[in-house]
Amino acid sequence: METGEFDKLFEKNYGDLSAAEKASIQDLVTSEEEFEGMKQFYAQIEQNFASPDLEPSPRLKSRLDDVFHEVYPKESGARLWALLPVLIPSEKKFHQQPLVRIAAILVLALLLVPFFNQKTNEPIQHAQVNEDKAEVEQQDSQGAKAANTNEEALNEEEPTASIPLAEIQVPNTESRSGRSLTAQPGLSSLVSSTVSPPPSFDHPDGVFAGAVSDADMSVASDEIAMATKPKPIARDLAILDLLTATF
Amino acid sequence: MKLIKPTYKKFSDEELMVALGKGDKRAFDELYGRYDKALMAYFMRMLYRDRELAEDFIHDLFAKLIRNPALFDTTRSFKSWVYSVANNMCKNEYKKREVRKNTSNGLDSNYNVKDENRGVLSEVQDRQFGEDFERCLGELDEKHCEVFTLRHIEGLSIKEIADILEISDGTVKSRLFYATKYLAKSLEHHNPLLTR
Repeated sequence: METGEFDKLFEKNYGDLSAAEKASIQDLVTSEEEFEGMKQFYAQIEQNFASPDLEPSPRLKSRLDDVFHEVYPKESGARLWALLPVLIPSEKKFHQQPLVRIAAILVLALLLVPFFNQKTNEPIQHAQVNEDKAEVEQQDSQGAKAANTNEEALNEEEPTASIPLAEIQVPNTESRSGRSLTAQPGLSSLVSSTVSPPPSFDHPDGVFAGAVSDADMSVASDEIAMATKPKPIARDLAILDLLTATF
Repeated sequence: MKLIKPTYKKFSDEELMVALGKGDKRAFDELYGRYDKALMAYFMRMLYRDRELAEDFIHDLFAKLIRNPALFDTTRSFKSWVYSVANNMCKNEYKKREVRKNTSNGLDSNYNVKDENRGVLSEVQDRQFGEDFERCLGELDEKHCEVFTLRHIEGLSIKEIADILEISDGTVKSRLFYATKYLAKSLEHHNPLLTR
């Protein structure tokens, strides 16, 4: 209660008033009976003259809005500047300001983008590997066709027993598991078409090489060169997959 | 997370006035929303229940604020200041008319009765009390009348009244004392408990 608001004392009971409070209202009331009468008087005033709920018409507000816009005309950038107090309210702490939070979200998004890009690139790499495999198979089939034509030509000249090589024993180039490597079908047919192993030859490396004419050697060397030319790692991986597939 | 949140409701009246002076429309809208009804009721009481006149006075008061916000002293309470301006506007109106209607000080016994479930007899008694009160209040001189009205009708504090009328707290208190004693004595026949 503010100093001087003696009428507030009449909200209490007379018995609850202190001596100082009674002294402050002694000019108005001197007894409990008068105190109760004055209390009734204030209650009647409050009851009869409560503030009415009067509201001005909306037209008044629109008139005042016109005055406002007349004094402060709308600028083109006014809307943008009007956003500043909303985005950077001074009464909030730094980390609670909306603009700071928006900036933090953008920074997080930028940091996460490379992470998601890495994940999306993996399927692309697999697709690239598959493409390389198909390319290798296509080349092998082309090489097999060329080798077949050469084989036919060779068969016409020297009917030698072409033993299809099921396995090429290459002890020094064993796989890590120690198993022997099985040549891919393309290579085996290539080798078998150009080589006729002498039955009595026993090469320490296990690679049987027969007598081959110089023309055939040049063709074979070209094709072998094509087959053995440096390939991209993905293609090597494809070949490795094929080589290891039979184990 | 609320990105856009109205914060003007948390601003004080003085802060809103500062923003209004910089051309902030939302600050003006908030300030108007806080005082439109109270000023409407005040002017209706002070200006003979003339609604149109009361709205004109509200328009003039806020237009003055918009055109010249520097009029407001930011070191003062805005509430006290706006009532002070309203009070001066009413006094000027009285002087223009050169007539102070003693029979009506803007107090209407048809005002809202808080307890609407009271009986007919109580309503008659209230109406009679209101009429007598109005008459007795009119019999008071202006300085006592306005102090009593601002205190018990508008609900302002002693300090706010002192600020509005530019008088001391003690002067407000003494005038209020005098007005209360006079009215209570004049209306004691309405209250059998009120004795001298």
